[in-house]
Formats: sequence, C-alpha cells, structure tokens
Amino acid sequence: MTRNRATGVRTSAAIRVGKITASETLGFAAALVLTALGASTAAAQDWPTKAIRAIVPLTAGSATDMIGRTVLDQLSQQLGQPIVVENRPGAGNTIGMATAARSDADGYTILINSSSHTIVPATYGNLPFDTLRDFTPVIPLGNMPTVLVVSPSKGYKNLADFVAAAKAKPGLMNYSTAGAGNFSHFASEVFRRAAGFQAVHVPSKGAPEALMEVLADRADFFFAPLIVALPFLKDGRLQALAVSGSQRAAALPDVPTTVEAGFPNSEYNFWVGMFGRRRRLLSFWTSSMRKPARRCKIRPCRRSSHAWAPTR
Amino acid sequence: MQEKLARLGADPMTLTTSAFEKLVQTEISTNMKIAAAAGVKAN
Repeated sequence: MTRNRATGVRTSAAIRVGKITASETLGFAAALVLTALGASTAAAQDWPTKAIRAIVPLTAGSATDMIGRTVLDQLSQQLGQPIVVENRPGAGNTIGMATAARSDADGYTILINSSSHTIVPATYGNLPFDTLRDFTPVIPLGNMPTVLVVSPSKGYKNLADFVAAAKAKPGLMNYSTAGAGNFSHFASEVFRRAAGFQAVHVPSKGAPEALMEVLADRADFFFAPLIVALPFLKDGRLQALAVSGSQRAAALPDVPTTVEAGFPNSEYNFWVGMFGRRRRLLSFWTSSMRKPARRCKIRPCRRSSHAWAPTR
Repeated sequence: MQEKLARLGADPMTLTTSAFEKLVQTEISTNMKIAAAAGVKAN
C-alpha cells in the first residue's frame, strides 16, 4: 500500500490502469478498477466491507445484463463481498441511470451500461442527471459488434454494390432500427451520411422485430447487434455486408468494417462498460495519475489486499 | 472469462480508464452532432 500525498488516502499501487495491456483479461482489468473504486473511499484497505450494488438499466437477460453479471460474478468472488445486480430498465436506460446518479458516491454503487450512455444526452431533452458530471467511466467490458444485414435475395455482391443500388434509387430504400434514438438508428444515420445516400427510417420495437422487417423484405437493411443476427447469418437467411465498428467482429472474421469496405468516417461503435459515481473518484484518479508513487506492474504486484489472479 | 463474454457477443475492448473517459466524452459530442443533423429524438 502507498499513501497518496495529496489526499492522504491509502491506495494500492496495483491500480495503475495505464499499465493494462491487451493480454489482460476483461475481468482482471475490471477488478483493478473496482479496487480503485474502493480505494477512493476513506479506508481503502477495508474496502469492500459490505455488498456492492450494481445497477443495470436494462432487463435481466439482455446482452448488457449478462455481460455485466459475468464480470461481476467473478469480481464478487475475488472481493469476497456480494455484488447485487439491480435491473432498472426503461426510457432508453435513463431510469436506471437516474437511480445510479442518486446513489451515494461512496464506491458501493456502480452502473453497468451500454454505450447508450453516450446517446441519451443527445436524445433526451430533460434528464435528471448530467451524464458527464454524475458518472465516471471506469472501464469498458466489451465491444459489441453491429452488423449491416440485408436479404440475400437482393443479390448484393458487397457493400459498395449495395451503396450503388441505394444511390440509383434515391429515397426508395428503407432501414429498420430497434427504435428511434437507439444505437442502430445512429449507426444507420452515420453510415448513410458517410456513404451519401438517402433512405427512409422505419423504427421497430426492438432488435428482433427490426430483424424480422429485413427477413420479411419490408426493410432493406438493418444495423443489427451481432448476437441477434448471428443465427440468421449462419443459416443463410441474412447476408452480412459490413461491421459498423472500428474493428471486425471475432465471430465474422471475413466481414469487413464499413471503413475497410471503402467508406471513411462511417464507423459507429457499440460497447458495454462500467461506470462509477463522480466526485470521489475524480479526485482519486487525478491525484493517483499525477503522482505515481511506485512503479508496479499489475500482475506481479503483491501489495494489493485485493490482488487478482487473472484467469486464462 | 473471454470465452463466456464471446458467447454473449462481446469482443475484447482493452482501454485504460483515461482512454475510456476520453471515448465517452468524444462519443457524447459526436452523438449530439449526429442527432442534430439527422433530427434524432428518443421514442
């Protein structure tokens, strides 16, 4: 343990997250940061002394929920305290976000959110919280690939072929989304504008419904969550033209990103991440990063009371 | 852990906390611009 001169807070040198390398597992990284969450409280060496509350602003069983639970389960075992997941779905994640924003900034409440986190400030006029001020981004838990799917019956050879067809009949193409203001809506608009074609938005209730629109030939394309589209890609009922993010999907190594397929500035990423509450974390992080008291690589460091053995 | 997450559709995303914080800030301002340009509002 080292004592931070600025704050007088005892912290573990093992939380120097700037040292995280690509080889570290997600859970490992998350654990380090949770240690940091606790370290921001007055008695860092005693953290956590009670259950940690994790708010998920989406339904139990959603991708965000299941990813969060997978990481938190392991984290809970490591920390020796329960992490109690509370699902607070509704209003584009803003109900759960508001619940988390009202919680104490004592290191015992975290928020597991999708990247809708960065969308709601743009789509909701009157939020009861300030997304930047009330939450501290802690760490991403995973990238969620989004795939541009079309019906194979259209016979598009590739993404350029699809865009050429869209340009040839301006405004006649339509696209489904999992709802107005959903990330699939943003991904579609970013791509459409970067590629330079017109298309009509037909919002659905959710991702499975939006996928049905393409399967039933009522919509020409949909930027679908990979996990929802994958079974239909495997059995050939849908065709994947591109992945929206800045990296390819591990499950679809042959499908290019929209940028690789020739459309610059068309990427749109979707992810799941962990957030903390703002105030205490901010002072902790800024002081600990400004003054690294001791150089200690994450894994060999045995000084942390929460030393985490990475699982491989 | 990675395998479990992969089954849930998540690919690894390795960012430091400060890089993640920057990403969140950038995305919020980008999404503001997209929403304004495309007239996107929540349901």
